[in-house]
Amino acid sequence: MQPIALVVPWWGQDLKGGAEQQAYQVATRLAQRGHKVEVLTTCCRAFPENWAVNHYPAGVKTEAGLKVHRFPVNPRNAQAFDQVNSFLLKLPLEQLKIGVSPVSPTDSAIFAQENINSEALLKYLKKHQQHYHAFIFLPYLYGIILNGLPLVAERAYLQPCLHNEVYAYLPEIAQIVHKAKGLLFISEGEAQLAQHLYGPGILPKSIVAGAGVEIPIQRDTPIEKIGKFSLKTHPFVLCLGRRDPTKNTDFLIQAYTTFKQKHPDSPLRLVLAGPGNSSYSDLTSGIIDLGLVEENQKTALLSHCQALFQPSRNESYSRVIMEAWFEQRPAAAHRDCLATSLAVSTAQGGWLASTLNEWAELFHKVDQATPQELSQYGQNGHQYAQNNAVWDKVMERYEIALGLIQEEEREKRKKERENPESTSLSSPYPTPLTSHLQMGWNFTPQASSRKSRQLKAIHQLLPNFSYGDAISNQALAIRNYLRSQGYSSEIFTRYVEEKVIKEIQLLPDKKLNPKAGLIYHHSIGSEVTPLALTHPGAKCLIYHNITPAEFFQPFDPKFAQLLAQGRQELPTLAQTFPIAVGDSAYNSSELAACGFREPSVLPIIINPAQWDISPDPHLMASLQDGYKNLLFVGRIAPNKKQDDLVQAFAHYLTLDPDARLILVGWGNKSEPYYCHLLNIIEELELKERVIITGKVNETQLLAFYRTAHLFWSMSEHEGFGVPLIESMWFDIPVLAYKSSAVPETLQGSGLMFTDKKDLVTIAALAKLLIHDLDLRDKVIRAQQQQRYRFLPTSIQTNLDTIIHKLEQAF
Amino acid sequence: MIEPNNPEINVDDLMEQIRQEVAKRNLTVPRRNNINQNIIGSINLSPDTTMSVLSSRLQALLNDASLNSQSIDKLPNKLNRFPLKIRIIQKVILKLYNFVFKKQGIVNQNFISAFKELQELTEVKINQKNQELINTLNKRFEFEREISENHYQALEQKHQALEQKHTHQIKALQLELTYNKKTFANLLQSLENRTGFSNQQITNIPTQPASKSSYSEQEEAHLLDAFYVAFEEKFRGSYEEIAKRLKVYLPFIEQAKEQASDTILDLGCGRGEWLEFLREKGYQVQGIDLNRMMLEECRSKNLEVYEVDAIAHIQTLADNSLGAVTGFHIIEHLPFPALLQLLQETIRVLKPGGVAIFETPNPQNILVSTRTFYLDPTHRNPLPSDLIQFLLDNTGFEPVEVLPLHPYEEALQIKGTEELTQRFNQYFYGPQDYAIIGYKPCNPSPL
Repeated sequence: MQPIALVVPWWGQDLKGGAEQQAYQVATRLAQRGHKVEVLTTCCRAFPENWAVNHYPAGVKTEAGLKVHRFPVNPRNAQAFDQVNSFLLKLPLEQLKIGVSPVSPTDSAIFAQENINSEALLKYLKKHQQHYHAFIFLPYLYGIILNGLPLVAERAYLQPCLHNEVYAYLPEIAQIVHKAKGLLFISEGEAQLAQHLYGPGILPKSIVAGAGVEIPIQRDTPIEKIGKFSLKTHPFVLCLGRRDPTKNTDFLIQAYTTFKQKHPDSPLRLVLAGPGNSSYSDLTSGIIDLGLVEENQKTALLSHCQALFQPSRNESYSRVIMEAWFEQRPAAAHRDCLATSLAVSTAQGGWLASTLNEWAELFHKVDQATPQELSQYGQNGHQYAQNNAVWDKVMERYEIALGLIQEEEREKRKKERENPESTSLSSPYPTPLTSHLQMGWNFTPQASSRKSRQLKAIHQLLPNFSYGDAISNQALAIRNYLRSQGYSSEIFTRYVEEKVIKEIQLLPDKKLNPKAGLIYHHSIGSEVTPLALTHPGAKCLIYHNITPAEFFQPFDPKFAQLLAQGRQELPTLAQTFPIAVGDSAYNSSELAACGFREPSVLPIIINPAQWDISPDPHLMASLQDGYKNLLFVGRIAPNKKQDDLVQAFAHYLTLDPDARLILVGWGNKSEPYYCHLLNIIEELELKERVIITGKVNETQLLAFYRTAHLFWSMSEHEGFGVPLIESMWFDIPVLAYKSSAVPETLQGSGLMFTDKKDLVTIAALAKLLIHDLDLRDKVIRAQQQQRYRFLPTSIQTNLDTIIHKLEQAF
Repeated sequence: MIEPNNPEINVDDLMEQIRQEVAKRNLTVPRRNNINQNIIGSINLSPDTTMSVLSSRLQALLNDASLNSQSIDKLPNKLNRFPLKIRIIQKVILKLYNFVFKKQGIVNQNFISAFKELQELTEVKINQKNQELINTLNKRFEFEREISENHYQALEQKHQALEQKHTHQIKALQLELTYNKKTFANLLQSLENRTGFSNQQITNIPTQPASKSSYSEQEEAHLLDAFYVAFEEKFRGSYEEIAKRLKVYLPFIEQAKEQASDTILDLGCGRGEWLEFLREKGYQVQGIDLNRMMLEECRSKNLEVYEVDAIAHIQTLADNSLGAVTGFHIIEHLPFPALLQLLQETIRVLKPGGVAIFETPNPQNILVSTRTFYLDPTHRNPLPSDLIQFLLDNTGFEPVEVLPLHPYEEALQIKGTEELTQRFNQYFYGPQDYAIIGYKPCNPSPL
């Protein structure tokens, strides 16, 4: 096995700072577990030093069993950098928008370029990348990371140590996030922040490895005093860590002062400890500032405190909370910091607070709480920490993420997972992100033997193939799966869009091998149907549903006729296709009614990995203007009922005027329904508020999904409803009319209404779904459960069934 | 209505929330950059779907035809099977194709344009028809409206006329009543006179003009004339001062002039200040007085004056002939019955709308009623304003107004804010005179 390389700006055992410590721990522990680990870093000493000055000599040295390569730093224009940096730091956080760069491209380039950089390091990466199994880049902010990761993207893992700060919004950061092969997070909160900033496309490649906390082993002589401060005389609340305003130390002092004003007789003290310049010591009001303390002193403080308060909003992980929990003391975190608050609430190891008054109240609560209550919280926290913050468990997760564990190991662990008594890897508190983590989201290569194989090739047949079309995408996914299983597989089609002509084999020029297995996608009768009918080999029909003719009757009677004919043909197809599936049970039931034998279900595969790209920046900027974006994705067609939607939207505007309706879909002026829709929009004077996008590319569609507040469907006929699931991945609440396959796709998620007569009521429901946060949360939570049903891994068994049936039919 | 597919969501609560939202909605929402039209109106009209659908079908067909009628610039992919990869061959074929179908293309375009024009034409026609219909309807409406408007006016007028008639009748009845009362009072008086005649010889009630007074008594009276002039000069004030005081009556005279006439009779005109004042303003003035010397002064100013007794003179005048009758400081010289008679005659000779003004000292002022009043030995009794007002009311004057006049100058008043001081000032330094102003009501038709 080739070595793993850690790429970090500074390296050293004694470096202060969460990211630096994490890097050190990960590297040394991986090495301890027997992996080859190297460190690629600069000659600069530490973060506070001058980034253009080389402190250490360049070259390779072995430190603590690791090969450490030091590269000299580039000279840099510190002034230009500082200018851009101070500008960035002055921007108020509320004004930042996801997907929109807070500065001009020139300025963000200056940030990346005049950062800490090493030309030599980058050269090394380019030259030697094949010699390494994987690279771990951390943290996200620095020049060598921003410039280095893209060079080795296929082997690069990024551990961003992300905070919700202005730097995270720079386009260079988004670029490396999307380019990386995998993302390693140190807390669930950090992962959720990343998802918010960069979209659900990163979910398949994200892993919350966590971070461990060193459990102090030795407790020789118990410490009773630190300096003049005696640990046992008064009860105290502890605050550990760097003491400065960004860590909210001032805020906590204020809260304590407020508490003391209300309860001047309370003996509860506030003890601060950690590095920092200013001294907060004010003995008269009960605040004791011990400054920087030794490790064992810190442990003593932790074990004697009533509770640990972590007021910082700027944490991607809180080591100190874990340390407190290891000492079985409860902890309090700031509600607005995802990383810490999520940990505290999941563990039930303490309390959450956000406003000054709430924190002041917390002091009072701790003061009044019984020792049993505090211990209970502490024990809850201890259990959580045992599962999540123990280095062994953390390193195992790293190994899996980096692909360092061999096949057998993986199987062994898989068995352990299925064994309910095992608590090895998964935490007892499954969070959405980690619950499907170990299964992986892509198709797992089949280990099955090839003996039972008769078919060499399984092809697909489609009437037309277009870019962005759900059926076409499904065909591609199926083809990729078949190929991964060792079959030769092509897509044959009659009509194709120029854009995607490379993906397919165009009929009638290309011929279909009669011996091959065939999967025929049927929607309405077309030129390719006879070919499918006459194919002698094993064949399967996938039914994507034919729109009922009555929808088109008033608009395009000729087309309605075609649709009716298509339905009439189905029973004849039943004779020639012994194997048939539908996208949904709704479709399959129609097949069964037409005489198909035991049709099964093959749902459409929806893998969020397709969204691991940056969204269109112009759209991102213009759609996040404070207006609510109501979205519907679907072709402009009579069964999708965009005309009903527009009318309901007009009512919506009387309830919530600052909104727009975005219809992502294509319509042709030669189609009567499209003209009808345009007429309605004109009559209702909604031209300024209703946007019909036409065909959009993936970055544009991504932008629409990322900025939407509600997905609203009035469609009266859906064979499956791909956009419903896609919305769920973006945590957009879904409001849909209950018809055809919609309830089956949504199951217990989204919100469905059963009649369309009262458009005002439906509009009010839409408004509530956007503005009532409680309702919205409930709906989104349910959606987060349901969306996993359509991942490749979930669908894999269905595909296998089809292949099996085809093999048997041969 | 809402599918209960999520156990965490209470559907009933949600429906209630929806109802509340709907209740609060704002029906006239102004949209950014848009005209503030009534959205609900247009929505509730629910755009006529059949019309819209049909017209959209038409549009779509036209769009499609338009697209297809354009000349092609690339060979369709179908023909790729033929060895036509060479550009020139393609070009030639395309050119040929376009040439052959050129005319047809033109015809197609023309048809499309014709259809579009036809659509517009029908729209225009429909609009025209609608407009005509609207116009006729409007005309009808206007016509009907005018008729009803006229009806209404007529009714209004009738109503007003009736009201007026009623008011007049009531007034007339009132006047009649007053008159009857007076006649009755007079009768009573004369009866009393006759029965108590011997006891009241001295009181000298002149029911007839000056029949009992002998020449010697008359001459005796005139002996006082000169004295009176001097007296006036001393106590009443200079000519200029008097003129200033008289200005206050001008508005009342003016009103009378508007309603009645501009002929004015001043009883006891004295030195003629009032007459001169009015003459300047353009009024026709007459004056009477018994003081020869005063009269001479008047005549020297070319004023029309008569040496005659007031009541006697008035009795000679015709009904409804004067605009105003005035008497400054005369009524306190008259015996009470004479005063009564004077008032009756006055109202008789006044035109409707004419005014009677009498000024007399104010007995409410203690200094006046105990001292100042008696400076003039020919004064009889102080006449309280309530009494004189009642007299005028009773005689039939309407409206009657009391105008307090000539308070002492402020410097003479006692300084202070206590109630005693205030009251004292009121009683001792308040108005020294008052004027009674009565109008003869318009439209008095006695019987």
